[in-house]
Amino acid sequence: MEIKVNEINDIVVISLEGKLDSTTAPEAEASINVYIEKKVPRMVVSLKETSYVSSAGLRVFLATAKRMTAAGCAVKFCCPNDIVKEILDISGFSAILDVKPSQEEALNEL
Amino acid sequence: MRIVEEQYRFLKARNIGILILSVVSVILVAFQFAFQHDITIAGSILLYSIDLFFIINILLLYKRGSDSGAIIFHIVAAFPFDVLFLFWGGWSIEGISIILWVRMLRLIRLKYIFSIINNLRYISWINPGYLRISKFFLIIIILGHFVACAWYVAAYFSGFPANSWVLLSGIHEAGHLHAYLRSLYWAVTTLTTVGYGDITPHLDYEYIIAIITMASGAFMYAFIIGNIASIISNLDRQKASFRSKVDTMSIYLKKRGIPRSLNNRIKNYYEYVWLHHRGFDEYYFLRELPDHLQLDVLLHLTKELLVETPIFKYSSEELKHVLVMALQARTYDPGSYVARAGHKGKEMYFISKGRIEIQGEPGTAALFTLKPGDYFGDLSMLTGEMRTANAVAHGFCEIFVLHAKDFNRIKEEYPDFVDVLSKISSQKSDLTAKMILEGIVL
Repeated sequence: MEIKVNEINDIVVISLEGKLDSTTAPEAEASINVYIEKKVPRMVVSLKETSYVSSAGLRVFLATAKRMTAAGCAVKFCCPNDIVKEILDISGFSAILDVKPSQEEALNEL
Repeated sequence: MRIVEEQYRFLKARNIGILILSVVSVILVAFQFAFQHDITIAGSILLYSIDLFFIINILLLYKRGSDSGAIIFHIVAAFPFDVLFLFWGGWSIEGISIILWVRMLRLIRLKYIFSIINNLRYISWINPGYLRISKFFLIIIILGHFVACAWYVAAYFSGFPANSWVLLSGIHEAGHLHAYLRSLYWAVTTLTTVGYGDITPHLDYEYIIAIITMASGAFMYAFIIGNIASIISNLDRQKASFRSKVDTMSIYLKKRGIPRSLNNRIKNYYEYVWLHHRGFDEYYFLRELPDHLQLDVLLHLTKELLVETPIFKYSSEELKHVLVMALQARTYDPGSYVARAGHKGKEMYFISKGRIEIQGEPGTAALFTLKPGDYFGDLSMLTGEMRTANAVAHGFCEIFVLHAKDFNRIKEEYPDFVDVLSKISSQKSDLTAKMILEGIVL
């Protein structure tokens, strides 16, 4: 998995590229945690290049959302592909996480 | 559907009406002929009212387009030909009014009685064994009645000679009912081979009737007793066959050294399946039905689930039908594993009855409890991961299972299926979140 971090208009955009499964989830979680600990006020997790999400990946999303909310910060997830969107929808995570169809929309709403 | 049900109900009611009125009319006609010898107003009104019912029945049959041969039979059976002789009502043959002789034509209604009993099994849910027993009782009643009538009318035809049974019994001046009861008493005691001997034949024709009655009685007795014994033994054949299957399995398991506790679990499972499903494995049993009937039965069987389970509540009618057809009904006994940790999810489960405990390690305390209306098993199926927890039946559970291949097929053919799942999964998102955070994948 490749993790890319950009900063757009003071918003941290973390792109998770590749498969997010039990093997790669700890690495992704550690990368995201760095910014949570830095108390970045606004974050977007881009799933545009995420090809697959397992339960471990869902756990990372859930933990990220919980920690950001607890710290009074905002996080949005964006642009999942069809496979990932289906997993998020069917598992009920679309209702727990704030998922936007495009990065622009996510950035605009933060 | 309702029209068909109404037609069946109407057909059943009409057949039962014809059956009762046929029995009443053949009994009445024979009674009038043998004991009254002349027409009575009450008897005639009753008989013509019954005839009216049969004529209406013919009109209905004609409207439905019955074949002409059958219609001619119905006309002969229904039409009151005796009214043609009303102007010659004073005429008599052997002391019996010509009208009563013609009324005997109604005895062909006996054919209705037996054909209706035979046909009732096709339009009713009454056990065929009970119908056969009813048929035998009707035969006994009608035969006894005819023998009683023949026994008395033979004495009447011979002019009640001094040594006839009627005079010897002192009933020649008795009322019709009293005479009938004595004749019937003789008929029943003779037919049943009891024969107390208080009424005995003395004249040649009486001996002939007695011999025929005794022979018929002996034959009937053997035939009916044999049949009733066979019917009674077959009445609960389904239960006996199910019991035999369970016993055979129990003996086999015992021989193979299966522990008694597991053997008892299997017995309890079958006991439950018998009590709740009459021993049928609904899934395989229903697969024998054509699709349209299968769907109707399944919609009925799952009607509570359709109301209670969110997946059906939000589905369109078409999607509901497809889902119901794809679901497999399973019964789980207490403590059995519905899904096991370490197995890859190939199916998802909808709880219809009972509760499911989600356990981390086998035998440990339940981490979560799922109730009727809940479903599980979707995440492992979607992500293709191994399940990380066990789903164990707490008490007997009725579960509908949706296989992965059906899940994927429905998802492709009905894109709104994902929307429905998304809608309902948002309602259980808290539970899903808790389970995910606990590391549970089901």
